[in-house]
Amino acid sequence: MVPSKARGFVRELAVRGSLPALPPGLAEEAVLAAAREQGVAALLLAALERERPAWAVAIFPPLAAERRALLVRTLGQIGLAARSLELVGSRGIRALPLKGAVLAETVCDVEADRPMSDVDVLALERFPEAVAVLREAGFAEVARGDHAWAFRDPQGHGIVELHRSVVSAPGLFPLDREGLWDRRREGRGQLRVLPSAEDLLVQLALHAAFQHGLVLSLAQWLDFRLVLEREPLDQARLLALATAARARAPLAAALAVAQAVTGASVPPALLEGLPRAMARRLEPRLGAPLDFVAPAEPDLARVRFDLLAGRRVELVWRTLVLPETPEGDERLSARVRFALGRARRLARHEAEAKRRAEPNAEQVHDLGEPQAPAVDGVEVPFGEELLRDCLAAFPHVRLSVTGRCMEPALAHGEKVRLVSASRRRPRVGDVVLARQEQGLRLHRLVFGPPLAPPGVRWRTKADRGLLLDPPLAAEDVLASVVSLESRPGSRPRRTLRALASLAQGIVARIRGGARLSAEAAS
Amino acid sequence: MSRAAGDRLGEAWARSARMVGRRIGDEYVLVPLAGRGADLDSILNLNRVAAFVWEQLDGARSGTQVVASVVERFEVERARAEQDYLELVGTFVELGAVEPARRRG
Repeated sequence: MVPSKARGFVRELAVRGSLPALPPGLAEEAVLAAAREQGVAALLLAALERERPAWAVAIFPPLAAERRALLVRTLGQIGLAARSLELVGSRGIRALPLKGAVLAETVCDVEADRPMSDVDVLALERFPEAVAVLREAGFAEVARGDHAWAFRDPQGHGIVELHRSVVSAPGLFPLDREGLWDRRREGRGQLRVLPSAEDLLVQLALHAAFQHGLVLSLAQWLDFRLVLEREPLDQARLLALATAARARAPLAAALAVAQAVTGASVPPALLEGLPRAMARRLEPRLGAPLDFVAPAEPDLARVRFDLLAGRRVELVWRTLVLPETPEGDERLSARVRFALGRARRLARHEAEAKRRAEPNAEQVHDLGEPQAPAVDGVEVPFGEELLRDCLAAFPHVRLSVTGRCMEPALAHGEKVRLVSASRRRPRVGDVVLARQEQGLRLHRLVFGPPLAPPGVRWRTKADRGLLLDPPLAAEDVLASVVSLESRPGSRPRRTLRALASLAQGIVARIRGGARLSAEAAS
Repeated sequence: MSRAAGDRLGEAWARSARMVGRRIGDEYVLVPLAGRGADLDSILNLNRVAAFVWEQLDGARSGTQVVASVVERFEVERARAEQDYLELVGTFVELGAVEPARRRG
């Protein structure tokens, strides 16, 4: 678990570019964990190499090793984006890389400075054909959303997201496909083509504001500062592009937050265009920049409503009416029919969920098979950033369980469906995806809502474990399991089981304490 | 110096696009980009001289010119610099990290 003091420390480092004084009581391991969590391990290492503080001796070697591994990983990911672009380009389909891969090859000193959970490619035309090209090349679909489909690289473990639009609800922020292509730049690394710097900034802003509700990792907020500092931005062109994409509000909101979080210097003209209600709500919050840094929970619906002031009917329409039906029918009549059916199903499921959570099969997003052989206690083989992205973007996420500590409730290899904690509040008895010290775990929530008073930390425990996990903050619980694929009728939530497990954990703790006391006395 | 070594000093070598060299902090590493992306097991650490030579291999400079730069930059004897250069280029060739460019007289 990363203490907020450690997040504050690495944020301060990002703002100043040099190491702040280590606050009393803050362990160097916590700083390391915070830097990793926020994707700024390379930034921390660079500062340590310059300043060589005595307190950092122990974390220096793991950080150096991590930087090499990150370099290798990121180069591989950029290679995956380049290969995907080449594949779709070979069929005459124009496509551009988006976000992280572009940033790693343009504004970062070294690719390792910009860790990524996946890479993104925007197909500017013939999306279904681009999907077919990747499938033919052996890419396996692992997730599907209205704006992007995610595929696993057949030659490795990387994930590429093939986008039809930059963010969800395609059409809400119109894509100037011809303009994007005409403004493209030549890449000097593995990526042969890059979006213009102005397009890149608009895309980053849409992603931050609309897709993630203005909550990102520190590394992602730093992207804005790097682009502003290192790219030769044409301000007039940027504003014209943002206006054409109906993205002035997302641009202003994202830049205002980037300024607060990273100390980026933002030209005042770029901060104009916020709807009044949003400005009123946002400005007082800018004084607490960590509220915009993951794992803070975004108020996604509120942010989207604020950003789309005056266009809320369109927001609802474009959220419900997808660009095509699951069968690939793009006709408006078919899409509307599907949307109505979907709304009906969602309403029915919403009612049912109170009694028994049952997800909508068409909206499940599969994160695939475990990538590593089962290792005890290693239950979630995917990076938190990828999971968080998927949970934010998709109604349900499918995940394969590894490990046996939750048997018989969850078997090794079994597929479960998760719903993010922001969509469905976890309750005692749920199996939850929680951020533990050792990484993400699927364990049972044994103390939490409705038993835990607000502000009191929650507790989880493996069904087959003896001891309770360390206490958790509510924001460390990312999602709940709502169903098991192989056992459709089964109910993952077990309230009595959770209470018995809590009692067992307390007894084990008391016995452990008594034994220790006896040993100390002898 | 053997004739083969002399020939090699006359050649120009270019860094392969399948190998990426990066300075990260105090280190200089070479990362091969294989078909499935980069490979952590194949990462190479270069010392200061080797990193300098790697950056000189632009397909235009001959070995003789690179050696002259090494002598000037690191104040080493020419014979030693030539030997190190030839060994290093031999390693790079084995790894597929460099490709022959045009021959120089």
